[in-house]
Amino acid sequence: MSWPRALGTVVATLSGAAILALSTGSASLGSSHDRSEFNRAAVRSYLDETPGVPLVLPRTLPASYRWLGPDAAQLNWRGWVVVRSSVFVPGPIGSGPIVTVCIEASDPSQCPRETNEVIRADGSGARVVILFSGVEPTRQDLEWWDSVELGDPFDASWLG
Amino acid sequence: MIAKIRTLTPIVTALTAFVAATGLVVGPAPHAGADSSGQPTPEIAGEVIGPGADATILVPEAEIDRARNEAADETEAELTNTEERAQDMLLDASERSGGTLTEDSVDAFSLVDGDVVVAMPVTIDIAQVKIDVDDGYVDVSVVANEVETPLAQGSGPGMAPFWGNDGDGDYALIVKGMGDALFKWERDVLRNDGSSAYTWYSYKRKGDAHPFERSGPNARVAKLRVQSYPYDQIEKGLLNWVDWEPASDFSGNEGAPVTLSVSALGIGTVVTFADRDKYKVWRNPNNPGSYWIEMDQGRFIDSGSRSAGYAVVWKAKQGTPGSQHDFQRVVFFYNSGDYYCDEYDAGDTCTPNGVDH
Repeated sequence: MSWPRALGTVVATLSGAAILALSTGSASLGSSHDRSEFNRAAVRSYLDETPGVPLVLPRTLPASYRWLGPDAAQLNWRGWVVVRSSVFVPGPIGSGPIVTVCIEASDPSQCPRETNEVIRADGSGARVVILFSGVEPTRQDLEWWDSVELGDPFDASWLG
Repeated sequence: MIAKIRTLTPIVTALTAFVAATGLVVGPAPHAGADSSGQPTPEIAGEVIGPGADATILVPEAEIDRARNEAADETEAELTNTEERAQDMLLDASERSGGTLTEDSVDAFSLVDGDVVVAMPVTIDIAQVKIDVDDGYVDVSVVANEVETPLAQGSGPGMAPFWGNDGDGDYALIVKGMGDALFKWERDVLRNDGSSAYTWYSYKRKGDAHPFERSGPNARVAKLRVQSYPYDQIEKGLLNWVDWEPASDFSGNEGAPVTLSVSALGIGTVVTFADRDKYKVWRNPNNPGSYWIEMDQGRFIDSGSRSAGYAVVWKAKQGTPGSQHDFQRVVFFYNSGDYYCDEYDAGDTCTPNGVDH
């Protein structure tokens, strides 16, 4: 349920019970929404619109992390995506590093580069560059992203 | 590369004949006037060309560069009819040969007080234009530096330009007890563009705001603004806008992904976000790179995260940095109050102020 701005003033004068009654209608987000604003249909739509190098996602997510969805992509002269990235953030922001997963099938490299990064292969010849920003990653962060299974987005257990 | 034409009137035929395979149109511009047969009579440097006339004019590289830079500052509507016609001919020739030239990748300009018009890919550098008038016939010779052209790029991917990362970063805005927002920026520069005169930059921004989980109702994201504009110090080197998305205000599609693609010289770069609610955009037409987008839920405010983003491309003189200032703002709505946080070129943690904004 939407909160009308005009009603907001009225709500402020009502009891706490009234506020709770309003919030009941504001559908609590399901668990998959807690991990991503994008669902499988949205990912399918995105991939249909931007053919090229595969989108690679981790099979599982670290606790408290959300996927912000596809972020940036670079096209080649044929109009095919040769680089695409997506971003994972901890909740709240600042409680861990912001993680960017960049997949590239380009030479020279077009992914952003950072001091802290993990470079992996996705099995199809594409290179996966995992970058950390905001907060310095711990050794556990680096190890987790170095070992988590990466693959087809539709195999990701957390994607709604 | 040397391109040369020998022509007499009519000029249209001359120009048509001068579409070279390398992508270049050059020729004497038509002027008012006609000979006794009614044919248009061209002029070079103020003299009507007719049988028996002789002259040689050399146009140096500095004069060519000056004319070219002036033309680069002009809008499409400011092209002369002859420049526009030369540009159209080059674009037609490019299309017929499978090339990727667009209006943005072609320079059209006049030399010798408008007596000679040139249309050429932006990636070609001209070292000299020589105009010989020999017994009324006009020879125009162009010496172009050997550089890669978009037409040539059509022959293989190894020669093609590509967007290379030229910097990126992120900022976090946190409103204590309400929510947080991540704002990203990424600047790319077109590599392998073949031009020693120009540089193309793309700048992509994206913001994503997320209410915290509370024991009571969560706050809601009322507004989200993402903005960037060039440093004062680089404005002199900025030439013109090339591409920008979104191009106008729009309403979101219930969280479906919106994929915004902008390009330079036919090479695209993309930013994607989940669009909901209403978005307003603004662009300063006189300041390439100056742009903002704002998501505003308006009178009725729904729950959940909200995102906004944009991608822009501009052309600058070679050697001009792509430095941009960033501005970001998030407004959370909770219990009749707006709680905002904003910052230039940085993140911030804000204490809820409860001030309606």
